[in-house]
Amino acid sequence: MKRSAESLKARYRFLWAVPAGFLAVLLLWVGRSLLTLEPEERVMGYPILLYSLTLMNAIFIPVMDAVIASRLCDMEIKGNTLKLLFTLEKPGVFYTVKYLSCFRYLVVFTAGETLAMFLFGTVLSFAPLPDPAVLLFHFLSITVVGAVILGIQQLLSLLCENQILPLIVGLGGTFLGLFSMFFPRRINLLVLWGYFSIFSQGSVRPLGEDWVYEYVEFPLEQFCVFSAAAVLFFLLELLIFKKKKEV
Amino acid sequence: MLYRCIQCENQKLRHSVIWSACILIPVIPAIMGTFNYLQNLELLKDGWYSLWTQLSLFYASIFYAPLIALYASYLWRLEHLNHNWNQIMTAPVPVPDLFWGKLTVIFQVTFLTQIWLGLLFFLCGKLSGLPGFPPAEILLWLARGTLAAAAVGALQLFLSMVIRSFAVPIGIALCGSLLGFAFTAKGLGMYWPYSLMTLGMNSNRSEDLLSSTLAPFLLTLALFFLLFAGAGILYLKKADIQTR
Repeated sequence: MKRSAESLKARYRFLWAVPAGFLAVLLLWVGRSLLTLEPEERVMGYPILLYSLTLMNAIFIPVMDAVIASRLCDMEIKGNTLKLLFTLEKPGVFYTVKYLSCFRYLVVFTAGETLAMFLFGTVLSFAPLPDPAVLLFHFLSITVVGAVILGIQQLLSLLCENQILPLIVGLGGTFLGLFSMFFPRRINLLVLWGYFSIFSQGSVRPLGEDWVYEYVEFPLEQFCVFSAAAVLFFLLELLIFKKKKEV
Repeated sequence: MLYRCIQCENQKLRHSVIWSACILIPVIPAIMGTFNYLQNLELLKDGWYSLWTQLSLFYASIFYAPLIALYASYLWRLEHLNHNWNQIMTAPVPVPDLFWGKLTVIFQVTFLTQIWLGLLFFLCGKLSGLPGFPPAEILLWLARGTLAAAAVGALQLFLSMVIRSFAVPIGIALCGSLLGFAFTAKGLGMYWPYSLMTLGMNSNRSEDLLSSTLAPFLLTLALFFLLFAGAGILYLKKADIQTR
């Protein structure tokens, strides 16, 4: 019932266009660079794809999260609906349902990206993946990192009257995340927006005058710890929201 | 009347969060670009020019346009809220002045952002132990980047006026900037508004990209500026403004 209320609010707002638009630009970008690969380079097709998508995700996902969260939460701020809503449902329930309704757009993007990877690999005849789980881990890692960032964006978008602040955080975070990828790992670990590269399964290293792309083993243990922290982080955000907005 | 409009828009920006974006966002490329520069001193040997490549690497090509989009969205958001559209459209002010007023203020904030970036560049260079002052050429690149912002500012102002969402035009600016990479790589940067800043600021380059094509750059910039500002004013004049 509550979920359908969120769906009704999103009607005619073209929200699907946000992940679809971001995905289209991402695929155009990646497709363009993949089409220029020589046949002998296609052996490294998947590692190249994994590495370039890591960079692109660090740019796209935080801003997309900020846009989605702002678009869905701003309607409550503009309409001053929160107090009225909280007479009908608890702030915690509202927050969780709102989060889930934002999350589905993120999943559309991450699932679309993973599917596109598979299609690129098939159409361009890349050397087969060493393990099909690479795609699964890619999907899971970008979805979980994106979900944590989405949580921050949603909290800010609901707490701030002015949507400029969440967008500043989104842009600043993207900047930090992108830069942190070129820094030593210990610094990279400090920046949430840079976790796309921590869980990346593609890397590049110089070899003489060439660059070699290769697979990196997925840090499963680290990912499990991160996922557990993500759940705690969400509960903390929920708590903050409830404290601030309880009627 | 235009001057009054500019004054009003300036008044709206008093104590606004927009200044935090103006101050904080350029600090990130400054600190991280300098850090990156210091980490790769054995490869980056061109002094001030090398530092510039690191500082402008992501700023000009990816984040500059969304930053301007943020300014534009903020200015229109004030009108999208609380039935303010009705107020501004019924005010005894010529419609073009409303648009030019906002555009001037965006340009003004962008100008300050660029000055701040220049100052940060100088400070970071000094802290990194670079001798003397930055070459005048880099100041020219900063100025060209500021000019390029006028065209993108007009486009974003138009988008933020038509799209009644704060965040969507910012997303569009980011996508536009990324597509700009492809246009620049193909040598078509002049024909894509979001690439003009990368070209103008000579992002991630030590040698001047526009040394022989400055006149076409300025011409394209002027054309884009007139096109988007014209479209914005026309829309404001002709479209039936609905208040939600």
